Amino acid sequence: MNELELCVWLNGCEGLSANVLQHVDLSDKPEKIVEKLRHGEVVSPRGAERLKKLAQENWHKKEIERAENAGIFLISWYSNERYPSRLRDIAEPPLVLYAKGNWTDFESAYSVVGTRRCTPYGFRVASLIGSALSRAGMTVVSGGARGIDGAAHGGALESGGTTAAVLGTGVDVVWPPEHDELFDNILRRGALLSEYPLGTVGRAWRFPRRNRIIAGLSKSLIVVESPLKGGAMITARLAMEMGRDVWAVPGRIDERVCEGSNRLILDGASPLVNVADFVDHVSHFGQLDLFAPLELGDDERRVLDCLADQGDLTLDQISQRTGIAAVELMRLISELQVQSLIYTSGGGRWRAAPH
Amino acid sequence: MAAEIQGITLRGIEALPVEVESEITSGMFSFSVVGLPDAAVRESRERVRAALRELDISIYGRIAVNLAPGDLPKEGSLLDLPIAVALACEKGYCSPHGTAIYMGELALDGRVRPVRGAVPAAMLARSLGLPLFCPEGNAAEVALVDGVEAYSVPTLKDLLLSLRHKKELSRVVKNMPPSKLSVVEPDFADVKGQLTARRALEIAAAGHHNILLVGSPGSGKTLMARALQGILPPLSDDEFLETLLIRSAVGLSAPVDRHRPFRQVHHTASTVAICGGGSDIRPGEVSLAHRGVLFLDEFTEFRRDLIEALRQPLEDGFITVNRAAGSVTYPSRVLLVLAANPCACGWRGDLLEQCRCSAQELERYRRKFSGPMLDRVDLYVSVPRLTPQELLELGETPRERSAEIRTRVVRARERQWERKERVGAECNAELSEKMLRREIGVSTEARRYLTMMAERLRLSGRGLSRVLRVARTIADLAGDQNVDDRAVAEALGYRDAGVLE
Repeated sequence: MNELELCVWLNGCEGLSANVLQHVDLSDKPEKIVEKLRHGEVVSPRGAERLKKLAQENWHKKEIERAENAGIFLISWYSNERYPSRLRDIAEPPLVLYAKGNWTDFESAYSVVGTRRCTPYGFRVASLIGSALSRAGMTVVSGGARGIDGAAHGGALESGGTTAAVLGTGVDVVWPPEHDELFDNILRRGALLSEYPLGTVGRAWRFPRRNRIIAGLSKSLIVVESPLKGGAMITARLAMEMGRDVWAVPGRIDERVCEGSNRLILDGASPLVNVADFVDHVSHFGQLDLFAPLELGDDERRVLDCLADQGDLTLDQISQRTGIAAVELMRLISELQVQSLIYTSGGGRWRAAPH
Repeated sequence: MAAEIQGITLRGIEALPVEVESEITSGMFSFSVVGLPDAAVRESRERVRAALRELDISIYGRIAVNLAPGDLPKEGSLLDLPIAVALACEKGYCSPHGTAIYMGELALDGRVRPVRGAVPAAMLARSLGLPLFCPEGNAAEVALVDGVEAYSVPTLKDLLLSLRHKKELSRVVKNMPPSKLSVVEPDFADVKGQLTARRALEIAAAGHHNILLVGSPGSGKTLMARALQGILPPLSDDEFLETLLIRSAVGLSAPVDRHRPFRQVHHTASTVAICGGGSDIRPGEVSLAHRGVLFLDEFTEFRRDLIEALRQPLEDGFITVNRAAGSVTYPSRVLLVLAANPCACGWRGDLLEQCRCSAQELERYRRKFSGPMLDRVDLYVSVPRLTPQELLELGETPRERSAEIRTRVVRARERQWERKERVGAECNAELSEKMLRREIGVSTEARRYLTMMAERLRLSGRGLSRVLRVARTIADLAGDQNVDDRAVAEALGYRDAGVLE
């Protein structure tokens, strides 16, 4: 058994990390290894059974072959130059990473996480952060889930950057199904990562566990919106334990999905109050001209200013405040929306886009 | 002689002539009706006998009534009158002067009750060039059909007396369809705020575009959908007759004015109730809404099979109902208005209430917004629920009345009519892909703008056509010959994206 095979084999038993390798001698036979692990209480009796069964079936060899055929490459603890260095320092580094797509450099990786059930505002901000980070040359890491994760990936892809999704399923499984197209796009310019063997389906306990990889891969973690009991809060806690910078986007205090992220600020996370400033702060390139001044007509400027003053306005209120008639206003709103300068905060109300 | 007495039977909205013959021979009393009568026709024996006895015409012996053609199923009680006339003639009580069509249900005391199908009957009488004797209660409908010689019959006695030249029946005087429009409640002046939805409904009315309203409970979706009826252009003479025909076929009274029909369907309705059918193959709601509005409130609650069943009539503008009893085609050109909540609990995006849906629930709900119906929707609108404070704030602003909006809509429709020959579509919503690309006068800047936007917004081919159709209507409302980039920009605001974010 070579090093890769060993790692893949051990990884077939869910819950093991690279820490087990210290109990393992590569020259031993699988039975001997299992015995030692069992003796050191590193694996449960059931885990030991499973490892024995996998070894008998030669599962690891088949798994490696399957991955090769599918164009998925495997990075084990022993692949020195490939294994992300930052990931080695975490408490439970994964034995193997399955990677589909283009291998990306995680030296300048930033994670953007948040709730799946985000508000239009959170979606907007996540996409903006994703796009700003990738324009500054950073890699955007997230979990490929609905809501904030998807927005962050989407934002990065929109401005032509690289992005990686760390999945709680096998890399060959598309979950959630509506992210089919998004995953395709990620593959073209980034990678899908997972520590789970091929074909592993999504289960509730797998997602929190993969969060340690999201936290571990990145230089800092940005939480956009998260309720108090959210997966993003687990990621943030892990990131803090690993000594990563944690940023949180302030949200409304009467919104349940912002309670967790707001709490993080109270607990010492840096509030992300301006995306341009934030990117300046983390970027090595100094001042970046991220937001070119816009060429807007007078009326458009008036509408935009009106919305910047106060958000969540209906068309009637904008009309009242700017004195622009209905038909003309419909057109202006539509144009501003197409240019992503304003967005609907749900229920036919409008806000100016954050920047 | 008997062949001179004609009745009718309905097949869908079409009236078919039925010859009524009778024979009375001596023998033990019996009364049989042959010629595929349904239960209602067979029961007419009792009504006819009682009504005739009321006039002191007693009938004895073996009575046979034949309804020809013998292989056509006959339905309804409207054959009472011709059967009674045939028997009275057979008894020598009177004699018909020339062939005529009789229709009506008899009461036991000889009164003639109104029936459904008077308008199809009048149209048949007109095409055959025969006089029509119809119940007094149906005279108002029949009066609306031009060029028919019709007489209104209050009682069987009056009819028989007139056949004996002892009395004149009053001739039904041609009545023009009402030209005035009565007031529709609610008026758009009653709708506070909702600029976007008002404008979108105006566009929908002007170009006959299907529209989807999304908003929290209490935001006013239903109110505005109802108000839409008041801004639609009045029915033309032909259209009026079409709606009259369908209403008559299900026994609804003639409309009192030229308002387009407005039919609201509940999501528990059966497929037959909506698409038509049943043993007598009646028209459904989609046909009753023909030339008017079909409103599906709480659209997401509708069963999948119902939506599937509606796809074809919406696509083709007619629906063919096939049953063992025969097949009938009904018209179904409707303006579809859909209303839905923004999420399962209904409060997503609301300022005061919190939405309690999970991510999965949101996704599941969002998936309902696809499929055959939504493909036919050109305008997507969010309807915000206003807070009490905002309502007070907006209370004072003057609002346009429905009548004023209607004037603009009518003018926009006229412009579409002028183009009709050239583009082969009565309204902008029916413009074909080919015509959209060439014949609707999109200016060069608008074309350039749209190409740019299509790329940026990743518009699909269908999405692009939607925008062009709506832009054409916006230009028609503004009275512009060409579709400029401003119209296109506004049209982009009614895309499906944004409504469900």
